[in-house]
Amino acid sequence: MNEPNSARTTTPRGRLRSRLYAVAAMVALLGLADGIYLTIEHITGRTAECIASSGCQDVLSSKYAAIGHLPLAAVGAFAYFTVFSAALLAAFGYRKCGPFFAFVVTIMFGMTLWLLYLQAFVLHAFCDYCLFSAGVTAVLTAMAVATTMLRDRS
Amino acid sequence: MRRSLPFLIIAGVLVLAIGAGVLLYRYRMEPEQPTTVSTPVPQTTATIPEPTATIASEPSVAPPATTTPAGSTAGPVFTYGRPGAEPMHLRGEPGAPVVLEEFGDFECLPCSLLWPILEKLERDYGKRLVVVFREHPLKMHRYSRDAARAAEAAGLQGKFWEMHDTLYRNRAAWVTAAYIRPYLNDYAAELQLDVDRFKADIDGEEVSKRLAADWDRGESLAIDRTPVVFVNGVKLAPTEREEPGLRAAIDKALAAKTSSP
Repeated sequence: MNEPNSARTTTPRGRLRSRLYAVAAMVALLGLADGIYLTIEHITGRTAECIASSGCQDVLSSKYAAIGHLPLAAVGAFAYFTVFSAALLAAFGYRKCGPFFAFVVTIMFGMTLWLLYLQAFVLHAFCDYCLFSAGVTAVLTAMAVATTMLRDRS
Repeated sequence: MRRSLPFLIIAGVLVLAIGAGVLLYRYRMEPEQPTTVSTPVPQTTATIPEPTATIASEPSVAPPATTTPAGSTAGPVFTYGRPGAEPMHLRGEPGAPVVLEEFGDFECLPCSLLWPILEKLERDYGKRLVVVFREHPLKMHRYSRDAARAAEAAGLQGKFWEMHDTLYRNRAAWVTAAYIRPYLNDYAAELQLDVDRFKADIDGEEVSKRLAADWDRGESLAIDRTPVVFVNGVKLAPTEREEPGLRAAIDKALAAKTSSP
């Protein structure tokens, strides 16, 4: 693990970047909670009920909701925990964690686009929890872009 | 302290996440009162119909085979998709003008929610509707294959629909069980099946073949979720799976049937 670099967090850009990472860590916790909830619903044989839309049952009982026996939500929860850890470490000045955060978020964003495509054009059904997760990933992606831009300019 | 703080936070969040997951899991797995199987009330039993049933003049459902194996259930012959298990499980009048084919998974919650709706429709439409059930146990579910095997094993003793209803009725109990087989054996006993034969059949080749055939038919029709419902060959959208949508689809199929020469 690289050592924290306190000098980089004392400049205005560095402080802003650190705050963005801290906020990103908190946002990732929302995704983690969503992923844990859906994982438990899956392994206990339940299907989460939608609140706003009506497609949760179709999406969560589709063959795309799992990779083999592994719930996709569990993969998501692990990814959010990884993002949380990377963002938090980056907020504390661990330099290499910033690019790692951006890397993982980029993969998650790609996965999110694929899942949105499946919901829109294959399943023709949307799931609240999946859309919430997509929103969280979109926010994290925006933050990853912002922190990358701040790093490039500093 | 500052250097170790993020790691402490990460460890704390990990513990909290695992703890929350365990708590939620335990809450969800709280045993429910085991429901006993009362005498099943078949609406229209899946008796062996005469092989003279005809589904004529429907573009997607051809007339049935006129010859069927002895003791089999004759029903509509589907011209779309690859053939499923034969004899198929059907409930209602084999010659009914409307054929509703469901691809279901006993562990799937939406399927269990559809079950009472279909029962109601069967009662309401009477001889105008026949329901066909196809096994489509999704791999992602822990017990769906066991449940499907149990239904098929019961079917080999002529009580598929009774087991079908029992599995849906008691879904909340067995879906959260540590082991499903004792539940299935109990259901078999309560349905007055030959339990020894049931135990042999449930892992038997005949049941495997039936499941494979239904799965193959599902694959040929691009079934990617459960339940999926076809009404006279028309695949219904998920939004049509509620009672009003199903009624509309059945009424439309009936109207098409009566208007056709």
